[in-house]
Amino acid sequence: MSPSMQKNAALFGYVDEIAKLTLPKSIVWCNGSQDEYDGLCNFLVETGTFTRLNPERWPNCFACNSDPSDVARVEDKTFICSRRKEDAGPTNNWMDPKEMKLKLNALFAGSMKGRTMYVIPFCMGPLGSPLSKIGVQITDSAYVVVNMHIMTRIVTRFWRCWVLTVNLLNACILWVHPSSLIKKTFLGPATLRQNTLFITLKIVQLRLTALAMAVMPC
Amino acid sequence: MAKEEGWLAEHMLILGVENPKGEKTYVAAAFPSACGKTNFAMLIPPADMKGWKVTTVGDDIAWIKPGKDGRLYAINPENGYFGVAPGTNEKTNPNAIAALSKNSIFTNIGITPDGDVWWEGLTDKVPEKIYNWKNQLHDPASGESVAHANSRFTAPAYQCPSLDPAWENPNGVPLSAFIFGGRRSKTIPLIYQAFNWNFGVYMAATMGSETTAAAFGELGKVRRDPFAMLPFCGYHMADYFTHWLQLGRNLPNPPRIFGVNWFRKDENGKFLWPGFGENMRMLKWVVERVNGEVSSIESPIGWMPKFNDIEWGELDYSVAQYDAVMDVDREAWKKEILAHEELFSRMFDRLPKEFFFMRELLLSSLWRSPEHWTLAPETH
Repeated sequence: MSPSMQKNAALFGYVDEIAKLTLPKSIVWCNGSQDEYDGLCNFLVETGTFTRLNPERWPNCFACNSDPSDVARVEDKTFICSRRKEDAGPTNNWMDPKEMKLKLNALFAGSMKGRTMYVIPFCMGPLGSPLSKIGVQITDSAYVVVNMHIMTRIVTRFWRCWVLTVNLLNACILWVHPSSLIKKTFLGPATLRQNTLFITLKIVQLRLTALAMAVMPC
Repeated sequence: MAKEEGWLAEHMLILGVENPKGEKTYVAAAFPSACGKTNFAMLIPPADMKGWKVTTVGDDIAWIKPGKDGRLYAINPENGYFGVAPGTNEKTNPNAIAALSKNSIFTNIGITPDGDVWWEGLTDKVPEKIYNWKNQLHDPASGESVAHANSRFTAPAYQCPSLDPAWENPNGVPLSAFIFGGRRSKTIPLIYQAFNWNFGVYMAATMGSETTAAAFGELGKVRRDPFAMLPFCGYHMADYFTHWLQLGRNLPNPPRIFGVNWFRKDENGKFLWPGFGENMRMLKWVVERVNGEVSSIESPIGWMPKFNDIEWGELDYSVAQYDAVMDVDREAWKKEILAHEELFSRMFDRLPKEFFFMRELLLSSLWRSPEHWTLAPETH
């Protein structure tokens, strides 16, 4: 752990808390580098999740298959966990946040055993933009990490940029995404369990409303 | 979070339109799934529209905030495209094909033994030997698809040739218009402009799209999808409508709001509009409207372009065809308004007051209209 991370005691404490719950064999703090991306893609090829495509026709491209039950957003398994059901409105499913937390904590307990936990610091939006937001995602799926490499901006300098509050910890506790909850695919370890992800994302979105998070110039 | 902080987190593409004088106008648009959002964001204008260019800021998400000058500024929070593969090819979206040609990840598509990929619509013919998304050798007789209908490519944004130079501008790009649309085989005209911000919010709140896959339930049924945000709005939808109404009132000059429907069909089920690159002709009218360069006609439901306001170029499109695609069918619209009622009754407790009055106003203007409202011959 670098000194800049250590400064961010709240975040480190949170990651530690998740690690104690999910029990991964190791923790990787992602840095967003090309080396990291290439290494994870090679790992996914070696473990059978990725197929490297013909490098002449498709340079540096990979293909993979998900579990057949895991192919799209699952709206009926997406829950808003606001304190009051009325606030979720008629177009969302709702679950009591305490009940959801118990459920997810039970599901997450020991769920990363024997696997690597990745901690991804990412920015949504151009770096340094007042319109952008930063976040941290925890996953034990290398597939998720490489997709985050393409879809977001992963930058370690965010470790210094966070102003964390207890609310962020509450938000993050549910933003965890272990793939051992997922059935194995025939190509190897499972890819992205989207319904798990979306349950957590929606909760995070709502919890973030109470969040005092600020992006400092970095 | 956006609501509490006074900004908008939207399921929208952002594109830039450059006219022959080199002036840039930015537009954000919301369409439900399977309505060509990515294609529209990366549109290539027809060859005859010389000097017109479309650039891509984003294809899926827009975060929008009022600026100090009272305009709305938008960023694309994503750094890549997580696009639906089937149907994407050199013709429908050459920019997307270029973006995914290297450094990309494909999920649930077909793979050939020599490391090539394929999905429905990539080329006309299925490769002879290919493993489908379930990793089984594809059997053409089985009737099963090679790629899953929701198979995806994950491609870096910087590889897209139509990328807008300002796509990473930390201040965002200034929006001049919002476009909302769904897949509707009947009723909704090709294009119209909402009377004002409030009516535009009403239009977006009541938008619907026909289901394309049996998985969603009855085929061809209209599913209401307010602002294309149904799967993504994490709080009470009526509070979200109120947030939009209020945000517009706080702006000295809010963007103009437009409705489009690329998918209207005639009584034989044939599309009335060619779509794809030809949509540029409608986009041009939008840009000229917001820049005060073109007129419009008041219809019962909003402002509409005259036939001669559209640059037709080499597209062979008759006045009769235009009348058919722009027709306002009074009885069909009355049914449409009743369907709005159905949506509203679900969120009655928090529905903004304005919506009841706007619905009544629309109904009254339809009630006083002829059975089929069309542009008068002299206005063509």
